[in-house]
Amino acid sequence: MTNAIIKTEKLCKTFSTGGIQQHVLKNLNIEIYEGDYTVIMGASGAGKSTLLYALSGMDKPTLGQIRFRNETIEKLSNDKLAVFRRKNCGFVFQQMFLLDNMSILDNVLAAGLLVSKDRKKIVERAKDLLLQVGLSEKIWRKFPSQLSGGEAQRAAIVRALINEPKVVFADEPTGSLNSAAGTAALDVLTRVNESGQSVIMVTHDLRSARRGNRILYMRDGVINGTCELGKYKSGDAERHSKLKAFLEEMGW
Amino acid sequence: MKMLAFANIRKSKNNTVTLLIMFIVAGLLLNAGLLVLFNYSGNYSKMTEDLNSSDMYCAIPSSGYSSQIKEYLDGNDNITEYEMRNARWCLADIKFRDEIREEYFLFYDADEQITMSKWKTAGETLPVRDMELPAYIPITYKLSGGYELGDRFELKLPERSVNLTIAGFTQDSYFNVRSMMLMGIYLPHETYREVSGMLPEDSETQLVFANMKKPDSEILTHVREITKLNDALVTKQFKNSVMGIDLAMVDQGRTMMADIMSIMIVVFSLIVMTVCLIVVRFRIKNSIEEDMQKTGSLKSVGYTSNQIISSVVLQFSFIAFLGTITGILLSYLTIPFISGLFAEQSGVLWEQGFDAGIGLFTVVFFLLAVMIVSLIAAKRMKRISPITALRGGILTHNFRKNFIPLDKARGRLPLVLALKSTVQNAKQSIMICIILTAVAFSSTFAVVMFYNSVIDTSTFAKVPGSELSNAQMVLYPDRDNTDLVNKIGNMSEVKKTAFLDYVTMKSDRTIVSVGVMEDYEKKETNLVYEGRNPQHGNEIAIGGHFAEAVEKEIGDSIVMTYQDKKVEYLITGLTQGVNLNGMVAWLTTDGYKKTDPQFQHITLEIYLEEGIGAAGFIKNLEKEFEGQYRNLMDIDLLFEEGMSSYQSIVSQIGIIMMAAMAFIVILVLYFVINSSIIQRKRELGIQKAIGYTTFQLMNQITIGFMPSIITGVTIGSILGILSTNPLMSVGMRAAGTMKAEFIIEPGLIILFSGIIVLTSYVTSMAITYRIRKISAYTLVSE
Repeated sequence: MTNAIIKTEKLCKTFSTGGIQQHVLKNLNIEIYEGDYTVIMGASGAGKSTLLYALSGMDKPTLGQIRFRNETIEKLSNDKLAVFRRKNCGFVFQQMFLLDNMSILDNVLAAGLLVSKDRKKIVERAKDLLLQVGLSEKIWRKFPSQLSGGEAQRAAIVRALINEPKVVFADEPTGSLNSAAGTAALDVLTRVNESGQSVIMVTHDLRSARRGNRILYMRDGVINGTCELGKYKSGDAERHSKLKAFLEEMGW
Repeated sequence: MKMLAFANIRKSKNNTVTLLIMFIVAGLLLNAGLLVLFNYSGNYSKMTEDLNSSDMYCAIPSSGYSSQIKEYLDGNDNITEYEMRNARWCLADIKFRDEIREEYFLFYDADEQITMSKWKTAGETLPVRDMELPAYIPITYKLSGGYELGDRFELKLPERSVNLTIAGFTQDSYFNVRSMMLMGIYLPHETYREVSGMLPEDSETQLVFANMKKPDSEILTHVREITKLNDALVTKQFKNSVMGIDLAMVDQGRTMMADIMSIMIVVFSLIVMTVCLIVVRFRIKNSIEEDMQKTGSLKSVGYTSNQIISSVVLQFSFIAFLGTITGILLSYLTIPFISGLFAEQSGVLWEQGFDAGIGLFTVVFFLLAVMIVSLIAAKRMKRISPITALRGGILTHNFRKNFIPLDKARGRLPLVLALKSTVQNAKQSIMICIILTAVAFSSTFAVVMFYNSVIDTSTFAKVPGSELSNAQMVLYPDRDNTDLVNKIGNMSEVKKTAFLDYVTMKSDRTIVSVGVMEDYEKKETNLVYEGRNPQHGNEIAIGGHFAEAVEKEIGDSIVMTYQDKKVEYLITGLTQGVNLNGMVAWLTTDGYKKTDPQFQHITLEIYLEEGIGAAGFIKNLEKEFEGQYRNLMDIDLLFEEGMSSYQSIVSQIGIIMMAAMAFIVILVLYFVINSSIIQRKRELGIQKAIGYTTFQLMNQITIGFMPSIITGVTIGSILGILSTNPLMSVGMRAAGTMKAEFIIEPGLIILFSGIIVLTSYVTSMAITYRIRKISAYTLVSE
């Protein structure tokens, strides 16, 4: 059994809208293991994204504790959380959220230079990562609006990886991509995980979910079930059947 | 259309309020400035008209009065009418605010029937029956001196005190302000008789008020010649002085400052208005981008471009209208303050009713400007098709070049990102630069005025053209004063002495005040702005205004006349000087003696060594040389007192301008940064998500504005430094100051520029603090 990199105790998140309280996360006790590719699934409104952002320190829980390795993060100030995120977390969003006014390379460096003082080294790493995800030099100076969705998402993944985060958090990373682009993005995330980094991904997509080795299924703010799939292997029909059966059992 | 306009106003409440405040400030300043410019002097002119003020007056000591004067007045064709009156005068100490002042008073019989240069009471009066020595005193004492009806007004004479009771305050043309030397006190007949008995015997005087076909100062010159009392300044021994002045000079003296200041306020308001228009343009351009999809929806449901543009024009016109109207109304609340500011110098009680004409002009001017700017700025909406707008306006964000790439840039990340933002938002940066240029320009102007009127007043003192010695001794003309002058010159406290007398000459029909000096090298106040002072008997320096009037320049000859004796002089220099509206000239003693061989200097300017006080020195002179001179004056004190009212006006207006500028900087930055934060909310959210702290983002935004702020402040300050004197020269030209040479202290301007930059930085940091509320989570969840 590997060590838990993130551990929650009685994690709760409540939203208040127009005086009505909505309990989105309810007393969650979960563990995310180092080196795992954890996939969070569930119906819309189940609390998947809320859980993802709470685990990553992007949002604060209402109650409960979140331990990232040995550090308790839920009580950190916003600025301390920002510093925590830049060092430990990488984010991949459905909408990419690249900075429109910066070139692709600058988008990556805007994150990289935040942590590393060695400009030369980080520039080299950025370029290397961009090449690794299939983004050639000719598009490094382009703006996000000049890229296809797939290219933009791969650039966003490079930005997430530039600081060698302990965990990469991905929220529906293929949600706005076509099939080929989605596969390319998933391949990159898989390679990331294979290199030892933890990945936590929220998805609705079965094809994306298959990439994970551990599936958490959420319903109404609680983990309804867990499925251990083992390491991803391309074309592994047994994994696929197991996942399908799990999801059917969960009412997917 | 109306519905759309008001929906926009409701949506952007903060920006609307900021813009509204700016229009209020601009409207207030423009309306107040125009009210002062058009009505203050007009109010004064109407008063002189109502009081049938004479073209000139002179006061002759009774001891020097003779029938020759009446014969001269009766026989002068230029005099259309004149009136003679008996009065008393004296020099006394009085309390003015918290200080004791020495002032010259003229006592009138208030019950005497007069037709020329009348007086009137200002405001309420008290019944004089049973009142102890009731008196009507100039309104200046109420407006600036701290006196109220019924108060004691104590005059301390060398021998005794006269305690009057204030029954009312007065306004008149000649005797209401200290700068015109005499303050008129009007006493009921019985009181007049009683007070006359308390005053020295030689205090009796004859006043002559005259109207002329062509007003000039000839009467005063002739009366001085007849009486042989030729002192230009009032002396403590009244029997030696003929005092007089013409109405044009009084008009100028009493309203010049208000005119100059009103022009400054109007110019300042126009700068504020320009800032408002730039901000309106910026806001419209921004809202086009922010509301692109809304515009698309409106267009898709059938709204025409003109309807949408009209709603934008209506939105900003309404804000401008509301702000201007509020500003106009508030400007009337400032009238008592402005009136009080100029009161000591003008002696005018300014009661300003609502001026619909000026108000209408202000509103129409602002509305037209805003409508034109809004129309031009919103015109772009016409070119955007509904589908482009619905897609969020692909055409609106078009980054063509990646300025300052991070892989090549040097320096700290927040700084590099800030500079990137400055370059990418070039239009916004240019706008801030222009605004800060205007702000720094006005501030530099205010700082220069403040410095010259409060800190180093030497240049300001040159404006009237007076020589700035420390003491002045008037000698007896019929004596040999050589020994006395040598003794004074040899005193250890004395740095130097120089004779400087003023005489009156003519050039054709123009009366010219001519300074006569032996050696201009000794002159401390150099008024020559082109060429040089006269050095030889055939040379003359003339006032620039005078030179323009007679169409002469350096190198030309000019004929000057004194009592039918005509002499031609070579013009060697042009000078400043507001005496006789700039009709001034300068001759050497030898030069003047060509027209008046009998001339003898009697006015000795005494310059003291550094650190020697004129008051103590004069006391010593009075003891040591008693009876050997006719009069002795403390020029330091006279200067200080004369400057105090100017200082008060200029320093207060300077401070108000500086404060208003700081306020405008804060408002503009608030407006721009607020808009910028709204516009960049997504970008800031992303940055937060990837680990930027609030402080880093605050710094990034603030530093992004700094290049344009620093550039604007630098350009504005340099423009201010270069153009303050030329602008003041234009403003004061009519008064005879051809080339203003106000001291421009670079250290102070750099300091103030630094304060603007620092204020901008702090303001920007304070405004960007709201970034802490933009959470990364909000971004992703939105």
